[in-house]
Amino acid sequence: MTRATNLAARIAVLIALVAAAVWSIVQPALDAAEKKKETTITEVVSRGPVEVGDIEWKLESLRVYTQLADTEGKKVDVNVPAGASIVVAMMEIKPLDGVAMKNDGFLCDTQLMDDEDNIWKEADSVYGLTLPTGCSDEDHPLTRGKATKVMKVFVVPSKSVPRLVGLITPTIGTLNPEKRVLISL
Amino acid sequence: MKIYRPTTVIVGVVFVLLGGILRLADPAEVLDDSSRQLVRGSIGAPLTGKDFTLTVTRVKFAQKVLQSESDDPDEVLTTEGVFVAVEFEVAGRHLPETIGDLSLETDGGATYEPFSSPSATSATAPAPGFTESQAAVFEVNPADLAGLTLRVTPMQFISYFTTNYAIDLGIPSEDVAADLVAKASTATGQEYLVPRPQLRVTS
Repeated sequence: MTRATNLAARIAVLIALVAAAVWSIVQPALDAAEKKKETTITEVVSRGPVEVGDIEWKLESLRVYTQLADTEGKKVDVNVPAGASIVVAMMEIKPLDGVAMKNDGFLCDTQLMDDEDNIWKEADSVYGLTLPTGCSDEDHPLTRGKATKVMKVFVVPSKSVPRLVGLITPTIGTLNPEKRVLISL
Repeated sequence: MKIYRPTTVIVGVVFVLLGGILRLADPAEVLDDSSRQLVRGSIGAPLTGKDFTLTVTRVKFAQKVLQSESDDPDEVLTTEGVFVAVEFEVAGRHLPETIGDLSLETDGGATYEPFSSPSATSATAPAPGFTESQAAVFEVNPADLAGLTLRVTPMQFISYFTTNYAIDLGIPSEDVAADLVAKASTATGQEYLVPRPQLRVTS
């Protein structure tokens, strides 16, 4: 009996050591695979509508502006350095059953992409536009099952504008996305 | 019921000690974390990383640091030593992130951290196609300036193979440094106005 437990203990220690060794060798590769999943685009659709994360997305237009106006026609403050342009993506976003809506809001971030693998985040602190820029705006609440127009604002170097291909969602860096879609025009 | 016999334990301890002695035999191995890669550069030369290009554009010595032109005289930073302002530019590509925390190192072995306000404490790459210029201000011992090097150290968070950057700021000896320090104490070269971070399109 004691010999059996002795042997079992030895084998257990051996297995633990082998497991630790294998883990420490394989870990960097696993890390890399995980990183890849955080950045891979799995699907490309033209305009949509496409369902990602219980939200239906549709890209209506992608237009270039030099400045934006608010509801009263005044200029909206956007930090645009010389040689850069404002790109506005007009989207229709429809939250479906299953999306968690806290205080009538949820996250619907996108990123703008060009054909050289450059990725731009949405411009933050753009206020006062006629349409919402996000999906948790108290002044423009979204309703489940109803498509709402949303403006996504980006600031991009003007020379990159002809190279733009479309919007991606969920954003790069989202952990364990089931898929990542590029919505092109 | 004995799992480990004394001899087994002793052999284990000997192996651990042997490993330690082998590591100590090569001091560089002990001081430098071998999982980190070190890339060297120098002032004025663009240093290209995965998602960015970093260039140190200017190094200025000063005795007073102003945060803005209309600064209250009481809020001007002064020092018994010398301020070293390092101005740099970062151009972004792809999906850039923070490059790393800034620090200054000298041949004398000292390491200095930057002022958190009004200067930058870390190098961050702006959105793709844009270049941002920033400045970091350090308070340094004027007698220990030879081999002044800007270090950029990324945060290591359960990730492997990070890259560190060491940028030589072009001060080969204490004599050269002494000239710059002397210039910093003259009336005209005394003050340094910290520039605001500026974003422009990469040309």
